[in-house]
Amino acid sequence: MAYESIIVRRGGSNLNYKVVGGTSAPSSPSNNTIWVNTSTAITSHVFSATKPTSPSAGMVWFEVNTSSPAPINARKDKNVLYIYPVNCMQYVSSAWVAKTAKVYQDGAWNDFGLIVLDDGVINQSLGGLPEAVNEGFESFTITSDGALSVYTQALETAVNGYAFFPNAVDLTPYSRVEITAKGEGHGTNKAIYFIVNATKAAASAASIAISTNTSAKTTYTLDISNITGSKYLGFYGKGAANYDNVGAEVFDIRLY
Amino acid sequence: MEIYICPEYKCYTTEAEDRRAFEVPFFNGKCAALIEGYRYIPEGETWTREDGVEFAGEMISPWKDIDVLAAYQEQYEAMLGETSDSSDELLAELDAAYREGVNSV
Repeated sequence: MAYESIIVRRGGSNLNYKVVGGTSAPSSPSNNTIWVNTSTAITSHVFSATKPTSPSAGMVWFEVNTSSPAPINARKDKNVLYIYPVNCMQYVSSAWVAKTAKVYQDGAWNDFGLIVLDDGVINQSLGGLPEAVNEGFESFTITSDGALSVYTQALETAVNGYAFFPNAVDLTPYSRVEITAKGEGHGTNKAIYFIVNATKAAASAASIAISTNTSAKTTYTLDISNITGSKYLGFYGKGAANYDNVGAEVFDIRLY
Repeated sequence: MEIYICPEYKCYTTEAEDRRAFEVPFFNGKCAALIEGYRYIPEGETWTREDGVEFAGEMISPWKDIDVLAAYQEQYEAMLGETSDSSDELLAELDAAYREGVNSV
């Protein structure tokens, strides 16, 4: 039996939202009810652009940005205070864990963004580390500095390498993917690509190049506004010949 | 495959005055109907979406519904498989037929 804990945190008499935790959506929600899909009691919540530095157990962090799939007017009176939540994480067992959150507005649940990868921690819904479709990629690992290591195989003859996270993601609510990474390899082919595809095959329907020649952390953005339904997220790469591989360290992947 | 992009970075399979040519292996084996539903942002260039979000290249992403484009490609490959003559002339005829069909919608 799934554990259910419904904790209601009201924002005060003038605030126009409430936060509810539980493993199933509230059955009769009021407008601007934020449901966090969690089995861990919510002890507090924070809306901020950056992760809280001194979290307490059970705290929920709603990451905010300048736009959101689910903007919320937080005030009940004639004044307006829009907040733009894009992602949700909860501090569980001394670590931040990505959580699915939705807000009930005008009779429907609207999704926030989705954290696929956060400082090397993969959202559990993705099913684990990416898996190579062919011999083009080495095994994927998480490095000691909190990154997903993405390296092509060092082969005498380079091949087009493809790899995907095990589980698909419904991309319908989102219009872009942001990937933060830095290059760690070299070679005549200068990029690892973040890709999207309908199946876990050696193919891609959309891609954004992650430069392997850039050693500084850089954020890359892929337009997915015309990609809907369940799709697989992954990587494409091709090293150079004569055992010269290319790679990148990927720190964050977020859908907005 | 050589494709052409307009100032809005939409892809085309034919030349025109305001279009630039690029060799993009991603489009190898793809039918015209699919190619012309994509955007290609070359490395070093940036496209700004209607909502103000910027996308720097090298990026390849659809501006038409990806599932519709995939269906075009599936039909194209099925037709290729059914024909015994796979000459360049026949492939060009197939592409032109698809383009005419797409443009009629």
